[in-house]
Amino acid sequence: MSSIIKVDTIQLADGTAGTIENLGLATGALSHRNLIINGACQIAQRGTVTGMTNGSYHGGPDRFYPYINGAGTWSQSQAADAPDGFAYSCKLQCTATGTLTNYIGQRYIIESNDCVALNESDTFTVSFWVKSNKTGTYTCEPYDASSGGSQSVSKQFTINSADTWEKKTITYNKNPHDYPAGTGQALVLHWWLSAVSTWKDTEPTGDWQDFDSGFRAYGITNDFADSTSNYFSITGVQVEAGSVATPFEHRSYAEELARCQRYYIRRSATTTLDYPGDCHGWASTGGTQQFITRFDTVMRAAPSFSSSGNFRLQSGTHDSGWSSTISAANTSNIATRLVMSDATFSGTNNDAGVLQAQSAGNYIAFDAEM
Amino acid sequence: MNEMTITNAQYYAEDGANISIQATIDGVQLSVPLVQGNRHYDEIMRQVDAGTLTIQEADSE
Repeated sequence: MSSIIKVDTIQLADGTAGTIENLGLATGALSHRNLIINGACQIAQRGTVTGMTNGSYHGGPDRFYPYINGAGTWSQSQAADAPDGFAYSCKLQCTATGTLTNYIGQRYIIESNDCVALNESDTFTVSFWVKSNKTGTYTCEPYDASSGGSQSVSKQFTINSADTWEKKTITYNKNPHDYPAGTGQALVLHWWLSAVSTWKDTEPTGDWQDFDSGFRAYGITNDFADSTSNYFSITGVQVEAGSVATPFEHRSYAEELARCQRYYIRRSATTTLDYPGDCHGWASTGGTQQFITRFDTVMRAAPSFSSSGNFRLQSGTHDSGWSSTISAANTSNIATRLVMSDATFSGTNNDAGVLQAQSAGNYIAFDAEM
Repeated sequence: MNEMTITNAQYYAEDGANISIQATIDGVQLSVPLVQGNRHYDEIMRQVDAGTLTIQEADSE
């Protein structure tokens, strides 16, 4: 049986007349219109990062990448504090005060491949939920890395009430050039919290303009380095084509995890003598053990490798000794070979085995962030 | 905006050929592939070109 829905008018929740544009159906797709991965902060493979003082850090929810210099000491975590409809947020927390001598902000980098979806539109809209102990002026500044970083646009938003979740929506003109397909950075969102005058001495035009550090944090007066009570939390981040902020596009945990793993994979031992991932190898009596592992998804680029804790090759009755010295070789964006050194082995050369962790929490990790 | 802090950079080689760089980057010991597009490799090469970083030769096998 077929049916037809007929309506004379569309009315929005606030009682005003709606249009197809208001409903967000005129631009972009109904699903996968949000260019932000992990916008609801569901995935946090690294756990909390602490001691952030000077640099760009990953930690807390995947894909969020704060920048800090001369603004005290900070942590970033996945917080179980969120507005209705969300479970988590990304929380930047001051853990030691300092004298503000440079800046602090939150950041998200969108891959150029994903920004191609913006090319059909003249505008794009950023929406997010935000909460802080500090009311006042902030800026959200998309930076066009695909143009060599020569163009940027900065607009202000205001947090009106302390310690209260507020939704913010900002529409920007799209930079006139098209984003190219590619695996590099394209659109980089900066949420500026505090900055010294170098970063805020020039009023921005509100449109794309030649890059000048002075307009990026214009209007901000808060000093986030002055108290360990200071925090900035964000969630429900969405970037979409067009001038309308449609409702946040929730995606499944599994889908967001797979998307995050394009940029970072951490395989942790959950118990003593666990097997952290799909690492099959062979032994050498020379003390070098080799493992081949395939990544959970095709990564953005050939990743860097790191590990934490002791591992061994478990090979029947002839396990190797424990070692924390592991290097990666022959790495592509789909697989790598791990070479574990300084691990004694009393079996026979080329005995097969698997990588085994000594303790819960030991991990191997692959980093292909931008 | 922030420059990575890179120390103890050294090539890792097998059969006489360099195949990765071992380095401490922002406090984390990393094994970095020799592939453009990897942000750590790109930054290592940028600092080498700028004359602020030297990569040590691989240990002899």
